[in-house]
Formats: sequence, C-alpha cells, structure tokens
Amino acid sequence: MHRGLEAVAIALIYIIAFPVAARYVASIRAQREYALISAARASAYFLLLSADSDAFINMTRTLPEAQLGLGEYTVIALIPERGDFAAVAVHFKP
Amino acid sequence: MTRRGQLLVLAAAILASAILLHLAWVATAYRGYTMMKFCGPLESAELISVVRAGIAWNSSLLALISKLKSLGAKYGHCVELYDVGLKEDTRLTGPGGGLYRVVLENRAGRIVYEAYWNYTYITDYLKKTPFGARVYSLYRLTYTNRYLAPQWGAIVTCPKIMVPGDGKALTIDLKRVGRCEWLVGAPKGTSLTLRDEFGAPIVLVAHDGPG
Repeated sequence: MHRGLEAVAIALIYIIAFPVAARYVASIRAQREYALISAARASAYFLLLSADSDAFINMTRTLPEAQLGLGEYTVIALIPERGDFAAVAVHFKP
Repeated sequence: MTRRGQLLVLAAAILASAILLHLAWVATAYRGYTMMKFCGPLESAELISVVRAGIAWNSSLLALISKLKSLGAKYGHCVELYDVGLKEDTRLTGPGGGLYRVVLENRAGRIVYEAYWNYTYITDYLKKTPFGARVYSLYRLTYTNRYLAPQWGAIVTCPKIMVPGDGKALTIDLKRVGRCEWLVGAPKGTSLTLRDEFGAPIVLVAHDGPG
C-alpha cells in the first residue's frame, strides 16, 4: 500500500512538473521575452521619430502596454535635447 | 525496495526537477543576458538621434557619442554598441539641394543617417508684406530622412520643416503639399535656411533666374 502511494506521488510530481516547465518555456518565458523585445523595438522606433522627450512620451502613450516610469520590463531611452540628453523610462507589460 | 530507498528516489526526483527548472530559469530566461538586455535597436536609434542632434547643434559627433556611452553605462544599456568608428561624415549644400550622410560602424554593423533635399524653382509671385509688395520666388522642395541599421534595415521618413524663429524681418511662405514635398516662397534673391523638426539646417540658395 505504501509503495503504491509513493509511486503515485512520484508520478504526480512528474505529471505536474513537466507540463509546468514546458508551459513556462513555451509560453510564459516567450511572452516575457516578447515584452522586452517589443519595448526595445518600440522605443527605438519612437526615438527615431521624436524630436524631443515630449514627442517621445506622447508617442509612447499611444501604446496601451507601455507606461512611463520604472517597471518590470523597463527601457530607458536617451534622447538628445537642448545640448544634453533626457533619460525617459518606459516599462512594458508582458 | 526498502522504504528508505523509495524516499531517496522521491527526493532525487524532486531535486532533479528543481535543478532543471532552476537551470531553465537562470540560463535562458529571466536572469539570462538575452532577457535582461535586448541589445541592438535602441542603441542604434540612439546613435542615429545623436548624429541628427550633432548636425542640428553643429557639435562634435564623437564627443556626443562619448557622452551617450557614459550615460548608457549608467542606465544599463549595451555600451559595447556605442564603440563606433566614424566611416563617413558628408555635409553638402549647394544650388538645387543638399545632403547629410553620416556612417557609423560598430560590432553589429553599419548605422547610417541620411538627410537629403532638392528643390526646383517654379515661378515668381508678388506678395503683400508689412514692408510693401515684394517679389517672391516659389520653390518646390523635397526633403527626406533615411535611417539604416542592421536591426531594422531602412526607415524612410519625411520630417516636418520649419522656418527658424530668429527674428528676421523676412516672411517665408512654407506649405506641405505631399508626404515629403513642400512649397517654399522666399523674397527673390534671398537664400534661406530652414530647419527640420530635429533642427538640421536645410539650405536653399537663391535663384537668379529671370522675372
């Protein structure tokens, strides 16, 4: 009886652990990587089209998944402005 | 198998699963290099915007890039991509058009900023100004920017053009008539310098034609 229970316990661990790991690798991690890649690409594109930090911020606000400030997936764009650089932090939701 | 042996197998299985999950997490995901830093697009865009600003401010490009690098290090950017060689810095203006072309090269590839314009004289017209009626020359101007980087290929844009508010008494007529096309009217015989929205000067040399 005890042997049977232990076998079931081991089987359950594998049945639960492997799909969780697979789901993490295939889905959750991919989403997170996608969030960061999107953040970098979107910020780069907005930076190319922005003459100053105000224009950059306005463009960023058009993206629902982007928010100003620090967060989990933050990109800090350095924008040339009035002889110096403005640092604008944008974070993206996965 | 004894009870102790079975527990050992169970413990080994749990430990193996935990190690595998930890390795998957550490090596390839959240704490891995590719997850914490996605290098390339932002650094290339920053380099192009620095070149653009350098032309607008008439500043040393390498000094600005050096400042960008120190700030990039502070904010966790991929600073190795700011190590660039200046391969070309062309700034040409003359009758009929002009060109700015700056080529940088880093370990990712070539990053190119181009701004080019050309204009043709159309006609003369009479304009009422606060100083009386004056003869103006009308030009059709085409102004385009092109940004190249290995991360995105080529992006072509048509930035806005503005008349610098430098207090000149001259009144310039400026109207956008197409994506990259503008009509510019200036007092006849007057060369003028417009600015794009990033501050880059766009020089139009006066037309000396009849009329």
